[in-house]
Amino acid sequence: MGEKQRHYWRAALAFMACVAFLTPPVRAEEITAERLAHSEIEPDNWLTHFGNYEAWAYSALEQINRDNVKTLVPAWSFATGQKGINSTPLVADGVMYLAAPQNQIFALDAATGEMLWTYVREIPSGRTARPTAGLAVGLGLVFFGTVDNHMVALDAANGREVWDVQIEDPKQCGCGPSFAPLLANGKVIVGVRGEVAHRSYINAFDAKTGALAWRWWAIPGPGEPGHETWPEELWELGGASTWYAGSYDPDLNLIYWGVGNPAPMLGGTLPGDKLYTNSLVALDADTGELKWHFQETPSDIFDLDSATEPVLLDHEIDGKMRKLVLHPTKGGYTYILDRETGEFLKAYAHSQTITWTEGLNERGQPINRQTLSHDEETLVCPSVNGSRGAQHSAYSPRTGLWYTTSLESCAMVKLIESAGPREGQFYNSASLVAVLSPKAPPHIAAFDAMSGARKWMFETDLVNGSSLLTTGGDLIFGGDLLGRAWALDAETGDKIWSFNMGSGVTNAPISYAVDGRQYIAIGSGPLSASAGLSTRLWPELAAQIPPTGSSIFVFALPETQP
Amino acid sequence: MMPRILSVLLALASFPAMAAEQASPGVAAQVAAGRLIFETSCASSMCHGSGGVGGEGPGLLDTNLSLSTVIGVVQRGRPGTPMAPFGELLDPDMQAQVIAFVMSLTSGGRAPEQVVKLSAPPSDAAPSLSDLPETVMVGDGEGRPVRGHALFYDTSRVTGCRACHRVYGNGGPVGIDLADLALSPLEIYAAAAAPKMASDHFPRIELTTSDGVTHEGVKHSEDHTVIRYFDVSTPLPVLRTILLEDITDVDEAPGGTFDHTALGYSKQEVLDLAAFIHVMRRR
Repeated sequence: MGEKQRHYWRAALAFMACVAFLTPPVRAEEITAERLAHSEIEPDNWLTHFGNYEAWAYSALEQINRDNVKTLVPAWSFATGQKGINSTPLVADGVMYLAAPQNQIFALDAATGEMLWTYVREIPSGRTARPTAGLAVGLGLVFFGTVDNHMVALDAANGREVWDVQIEDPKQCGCGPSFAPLLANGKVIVGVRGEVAHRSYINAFDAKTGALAWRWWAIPGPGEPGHETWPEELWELGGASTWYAGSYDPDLNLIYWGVGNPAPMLGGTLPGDKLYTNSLVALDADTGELKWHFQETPSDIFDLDSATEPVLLDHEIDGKMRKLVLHPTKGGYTYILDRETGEFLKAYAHSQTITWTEGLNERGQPINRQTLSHDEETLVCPSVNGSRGAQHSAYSPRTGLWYTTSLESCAMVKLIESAGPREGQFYNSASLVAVLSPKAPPHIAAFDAMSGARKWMFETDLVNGSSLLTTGGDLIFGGDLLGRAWALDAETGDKIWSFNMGSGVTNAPISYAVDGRQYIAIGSGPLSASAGLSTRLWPELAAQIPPTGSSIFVFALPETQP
Repeated sequence: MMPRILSVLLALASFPAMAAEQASPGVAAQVAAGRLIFETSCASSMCHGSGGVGGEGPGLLDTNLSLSTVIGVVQRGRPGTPMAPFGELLDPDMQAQVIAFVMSLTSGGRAPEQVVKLSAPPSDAAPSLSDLPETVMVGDGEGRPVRGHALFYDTSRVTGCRACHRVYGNGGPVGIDLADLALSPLEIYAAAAAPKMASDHFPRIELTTSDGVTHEGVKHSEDHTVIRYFDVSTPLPVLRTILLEDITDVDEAPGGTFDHTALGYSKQEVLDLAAFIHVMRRR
């Protein structure tokens, strides 16, 4: 059976399933490894955090396009009752799975917003981790990382808990699960989130049983290659958080994951490259074995994580098709590597304000980096907020353009005395004051993905905290901290639609379809550092930033065209 | 030349420190010391941000919090949030310093009128490591509690004591908190050194489900629809929920579930662990 035929057969089956079960629980066709690997043939669904394993944040749906987007209307809205919508919802076969930030998951009818089931998990006393920021679905289960640092699998049909594993005690490690788990080849893979003194890792759990299948340490232990790049007193507390989310190439069976900075956050003075901090790594999905790594910033002292999404692209280089990975970092550069070998091919700046290095050499390594002083403040750009952070990029195979946020963040930084690292505690050796870039305003830009040529720039109000979605209708969706969802023309960057949702946007818009109607879902209720940064830098706009809401809004074209 | 906005911000940033200089020398010193602790412990963009401007956590500027609120939150944390109980992490002088600095942030840069003084910590707090005895007799042997603590919470191992067990609430989810075990050092040693020792505090259960699979582990709970148990055969214990309707047989005969000898600790290491667990018991 060809891919197309399989698609139609599946669509027919899904239709029959809908007819058979008009009332919940909805038992849709199981989301298999095969379906996840070929999500491009079912654009009606949004099965993974980034919409596909390649981390494109692209929906091929084209019913909503540049000509009709102005007529978008809200189809439904749903409030979780918990402050903040940070998590990217997933949609499978007409059901939306949505995480509220504090241990609550909802399954909603994706066409109407009607609640099908909810799962509530008690929050224990004591210190917990960051809010839940992403989900995975598949094999009949919904997977999520909890604020009390457990991985939990729920029955997708009714929300019943199936398995539950405490990863580490969050009171001690100060850590939590990474933004979104990655379901790859039967394993749920999840990193560690937290700017703390801790030895981070990536864990893989057997999706069906919850048994820990492998752990890859982001800091090699004694006897392992790379351990020699660590000062003896730091490796067990060296940070290297794997806080974001990975991508996956099913053909190579490799996962790609970015690694954060070494502890302390700012101003480390101990020598050594500190592998695998500030690196992109490729791991065997079945075993966790390190296939290759590329360290973008050895011995980082500016909190310029390399944790953000690895975007997988295939492109011709010198007449030969290559399997590539495009990797933006907080340091303002985007790196392009061969994803089979890790070979560095090129890098370009996606941020206009970069002071921490004079540039990159032919091996992609920084040249003449800035240093910090105890005596005076140094202007460092990007700052700890990064050229961008958790607000992910989008890539459109239609335009060949890669769209990303650039915060153009800067800070005045000065070394200060600090107590040494303590397990699970924030560790920092410098003070900072956020300042505006002397060079460029915060914006969203479109780049030719391969050459890095900037096609257009869209200046954002305050800094953009929302992730980006691009669609087959040649649109970019996002939103701002003033509470407006918006759509940009993917070719020109012109804003052509906006809607006041009443609270800021820091989650990822998604698109899906049910019964032939395309929907755009956008969360309203910011949960990110962007808000604090914005009130600091634009005090005159602080009064216009609405309070934190808890709603998701779903838009569609009017059912009868006006 | 410094951009205008930059100089404004720098002036703002130094405001609390300036105000503190007009306060009494003791208060000013306390606020200044607190600022350093704040910047290195609280100022992550994931928490309160540099100078308390806010990050993912709340901003503190001009929030007019009362001294008792600030003391309570700093010392006990905010359960259910990433805010840690700094009463367990900083010594009392440092707590008072950071509280003084936070008070200056919350009140528009005005330093507290008096030096912040803290009362004694609650008596139910876990014994601090520095208060533990150097050695404890375990039968004929001698255990070192501080060494046992390091082994118990060894973060360089994937699995280990802390994966299942907790002491004073810190550690894993299986069974009773070991601080509530009223056992002698020797009894603890025996449990930790023996393969599959039975204990009422870690009740064994074996379930057979209609698919013919048997599940063995430590019982967690049951209600009218499910039985929950910890599968301790994996590196991190898995809490599984089994529907009663799927269960064909239940065996709760007493027995051990986990072979502690598989962890490979030496005799001295087990002595150290037993000494640690014993001295941490709640009194």
